[in-house]
Amino acid sequence: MSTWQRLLLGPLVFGIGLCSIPAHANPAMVLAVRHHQLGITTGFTGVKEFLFGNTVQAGDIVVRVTSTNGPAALSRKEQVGPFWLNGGEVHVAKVPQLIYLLSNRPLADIASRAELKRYGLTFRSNLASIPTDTRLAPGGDNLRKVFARLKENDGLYRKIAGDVRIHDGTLFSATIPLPAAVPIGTYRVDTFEFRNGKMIAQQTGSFRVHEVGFERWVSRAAVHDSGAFGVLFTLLAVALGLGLSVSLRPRPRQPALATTGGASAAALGSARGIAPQMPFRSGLLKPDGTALSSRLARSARNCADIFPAAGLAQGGDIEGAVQLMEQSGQQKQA
Amino acid sequence: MTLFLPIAHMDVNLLLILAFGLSIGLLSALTGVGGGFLLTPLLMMIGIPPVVAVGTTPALIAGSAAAGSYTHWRLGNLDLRLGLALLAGSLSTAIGSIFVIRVLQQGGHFDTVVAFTYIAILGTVGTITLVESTRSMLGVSAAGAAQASAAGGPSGWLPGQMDFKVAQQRMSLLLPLLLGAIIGVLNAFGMGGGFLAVPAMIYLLRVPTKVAIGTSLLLMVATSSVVTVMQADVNRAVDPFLALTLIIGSAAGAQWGARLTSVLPAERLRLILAVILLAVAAKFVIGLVTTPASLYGLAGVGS
Repeated sequence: MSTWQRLLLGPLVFGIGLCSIPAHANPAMVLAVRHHQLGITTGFTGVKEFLFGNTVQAGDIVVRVTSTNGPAALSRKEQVGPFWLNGGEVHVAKVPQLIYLLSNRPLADIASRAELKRYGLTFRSNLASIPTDTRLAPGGDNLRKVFARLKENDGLYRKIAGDVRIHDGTLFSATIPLPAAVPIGTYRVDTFEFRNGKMIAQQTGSFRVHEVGFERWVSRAAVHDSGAFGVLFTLLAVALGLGLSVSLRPRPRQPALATTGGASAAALGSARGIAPQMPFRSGLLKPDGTALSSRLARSARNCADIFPAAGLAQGGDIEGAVQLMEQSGQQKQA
Repeated sequence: MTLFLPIAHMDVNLLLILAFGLSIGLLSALTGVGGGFLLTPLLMMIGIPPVVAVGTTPALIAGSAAAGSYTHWRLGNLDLRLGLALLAGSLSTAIGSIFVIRVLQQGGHFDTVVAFTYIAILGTVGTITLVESTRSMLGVSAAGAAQASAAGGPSGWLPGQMDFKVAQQRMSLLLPLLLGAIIGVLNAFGMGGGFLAVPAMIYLLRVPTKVAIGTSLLLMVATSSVVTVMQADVNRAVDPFLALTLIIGSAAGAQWGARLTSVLPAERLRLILAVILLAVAAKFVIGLVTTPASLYGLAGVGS
């Protein structure tokens, strides 16, 4: 790190850091987070948080990022006959939804396992609320270990060695790559400095992850006013479905038949083949489009009478026929 | 193009979701089958939690069936009395099912129940469609089968006989109530149910085809709408962004499919549909039978 960088970064760290130092904290380390608020928007794919810090003497830096505790459940599969079914669940009331352990080099090289455990710098030392009762895990598995492994697979528990960069002995910075599935809540950032395997300095910071803008509005409505949200959203879905089917209606040169409905029984019938012989003429419609619906209804019923044995999908074709007639009506008007 | 889903709390590829909607719309236009029962497994395959997949599909059905039912209502293909009877049956079981889903979800058995339900339904519908499309490709008339099964007909000995004018039938009120009840369960589990309602009305209740389709679409819109409202309120399982993206894709797919129907042969399309249905059912079976890589899993915890 060059002198000017140091000159620039030093005051910055102190400037931001001093504001957030709790009264009881060890003054041997200053810590600052770049963003105190991280927003989840509609196009959210994850976000990077940055940390800066300064220590009094050179050493190894370990950063632990933990989310607010939340409930979790661990399910276990059992073989029942030929099937693997859910055999039961272990519910845990409070467990960190995210744990990131960042360091400037592999944790095993920084301090002994016992020392790391003492400061909560292993996954399992943060999972004390998960019972170790082996009756819950017939295979004799350690449930804390299993839980940590599953969380690692999801990318919510991570150890990233080399993610903390030490610039010039006492200044350090770190990047926290939070995934898209980052839980909402307040995050605690605990930073430890180790020297010769012993913890010599500690500092705590925090940041918040929350939904912003439209995403926040929708998510709040869906959770806090779920009844009103359900009603309004369903109306919107129906209106959108209706509106789109009207506005997207094609005007092909060769008329086609359609079933826009979600369900009909064409799976069991076959009437598509009659399409070319359908006796529709746009002359059935008034050019100005008035009395369209009654005329449509009558001619479509006539059509159904002409093809009484067309099979199950006949109704679908009537629907298509209406579209067909409307299209030709629109074309004529246009 | 990324879309962050507020309820599923995950990011998805917007184009992929549009493509799903497009395929479902295309499928429903080409084959006449709604496609809800295909959408739910598709959503689960890309990592959407099963409860959100099941909860969001009825929103798509409500949106896409609305257009069709409006058309049929204008045509007068709608027996309101029959529709209300079916609706009474479907709503009672659908609302009950929402609470059953909640209990199953809390007990951790929801995924298993969904898998078995889908294997049964997709396997049955897939097999029937496969047999029927093969037969019609070989030149055997479907009309013969229709007459054979219509011989049963609605029974006069049941209580609560009633006239259904548009459907031109007199039958016991219990029959549409019972049929509605089955549809209600299917709908709450994200499978729509139109694929069952229409043939059942035609063959078992002897309702004219056009009235069966019109009434079924009304049933789909009403049941799916109530299920969507309930799923949003009770289970918070309806993802609005996911649903709207699917509706847009499906509307486009339906129009595209409408242009293709005159070109593609119907029997072959239904054969393809049968293969898709059986493949999805097989995927569920394989998922249940193969030894899992990890015996443990993180289960979703409802808020």
